[in-house]
Amino acid sequence: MTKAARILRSHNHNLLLGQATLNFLGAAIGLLLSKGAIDFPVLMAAMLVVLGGLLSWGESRSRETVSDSRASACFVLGLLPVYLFVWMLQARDGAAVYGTLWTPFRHHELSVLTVALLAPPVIWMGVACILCFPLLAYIQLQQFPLEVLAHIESRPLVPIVAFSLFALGLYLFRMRWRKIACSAAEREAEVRLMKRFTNSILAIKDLANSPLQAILLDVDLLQKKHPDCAEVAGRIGKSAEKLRDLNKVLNAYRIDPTKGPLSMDSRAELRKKG
Amino acid sequence: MKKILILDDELELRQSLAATLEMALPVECVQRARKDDCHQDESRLNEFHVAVLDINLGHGLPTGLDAYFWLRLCGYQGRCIFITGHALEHPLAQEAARLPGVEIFEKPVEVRRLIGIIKEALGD
Repeated sequence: MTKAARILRSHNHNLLLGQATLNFLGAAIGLLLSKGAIDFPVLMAAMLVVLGGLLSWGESRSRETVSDSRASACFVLGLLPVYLFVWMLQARDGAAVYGTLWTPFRHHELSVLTVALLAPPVIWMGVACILCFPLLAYIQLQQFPLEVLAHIESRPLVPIVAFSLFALGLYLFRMRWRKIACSAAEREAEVRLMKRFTNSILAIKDLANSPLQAILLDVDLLQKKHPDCAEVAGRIGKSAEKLRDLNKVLNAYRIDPTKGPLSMDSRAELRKKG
Repeated sequence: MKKILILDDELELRQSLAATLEMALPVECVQRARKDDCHQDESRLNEFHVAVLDINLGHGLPTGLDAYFWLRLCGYQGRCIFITGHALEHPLAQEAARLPGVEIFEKPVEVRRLIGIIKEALGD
C-alpha cells in the first residue's frame, strides 16, 4: 500500500469515526439543551441520528480502504437524520419561546461548521451537505406561524448564511490541503520506488562488472596465447563488448549521495523487497 | 622483476588480471582475496611497486579502503590503484578517490587501457 493510499484510508476512516462521535454527542446535546417538548417524534429523530452514527462507526471499523465515494455516501446517509433532527428541534423550540425574543437556527450554525470539518471528499456532495443547512433554515422560516415570527430577531437567516459561507471556505481549504498531501505522498512513493530501482540496477551492475572484466582479460589472453582461437575469442570479445555497452547505458542510473547510504552488499540490495 | 599486489575477492578476476599483466609486462603478481590475507606480506610490503585493490571485498569484511590504510600504516610506499565494480559515485568510491596517491577506475576497464595504467604506475 502506498503512503498516499494509507493517508487516504486513514483520512476517510477518521472522517467517518468523527461523524459517528459527533452524531452520538449531537443527539445527546440536542435533547439536553432543547427548549421545546421532547416528544416521541423528536426521540425517534434522535435515534435515527444515533443510527446514522452507528453506520459511520461500522464503516470506520472496516479493514478495507474506504474509497472517497463510499465514505461520502456513508457520510451523507449519516447526515440525513441530522437535518431531520435539527428541523424538529427548531420547530419545538419555536413553539416553546412564545413571548420571548428568539434566535433560531443555532443548531444549524454548529452543524454546518461540523460538516465543514468532516464533510466527504467528493466535493459536490460536501458542498451540497453544507448548503442544505441554510436552505432548510430558509424553508423552515417560511413555515413559522406569525406568532413565532413576531418574536424572532430581524434578519434571522444572516447568521446561518454567514456560517455556511465560512463553512464552505473551510471545507474547500480542507479539500485543497488533502489534495496537496496526497500528491506529496504519491511523489514521495515514486521517488522511493525510483531509488529502489536505481539501487537494484547499480547492484546488478556491480555483480556483473567483475565477471565481465575477467572475460575481457581472458579474451585478450586467448587471442595472444592461442592465435588459432582468434575467431572464437573475437566472438566472445564482441559479446563482452556488447555487455560493456549495456553497462554504459546503465550508467544513466547514478547514485544521489543526498538520498542516504547505499549498501556495499549488492546481493542483499537485490534481495530487498518493496 | 617488479611486483604487483592484486587484492580482489573474485578468484577468476584475480587470476585473469595476474595472467594478463604477467604476459604484457615484466612483473610478478601476488594475489590476495581479503585484507587479512595481506598480513602474510607485511614484512615484504616494500617489494611491491603497485597495489591493485578492489573496494568491495565481500559483505561484512574489511574493504579495499581498509587494506589501503593498513598498507600505508605498514609503510607501503608504492602506488595504489582501486578498481571497483560499483559506480564511482558510490560513497566508498568517492572516499577512495580523495585519498592521496590513488587512482580509481570503474570495472570493466578496457584491457589495453588497464595495462597502460599499470605500466604508468610502475613508472615504465
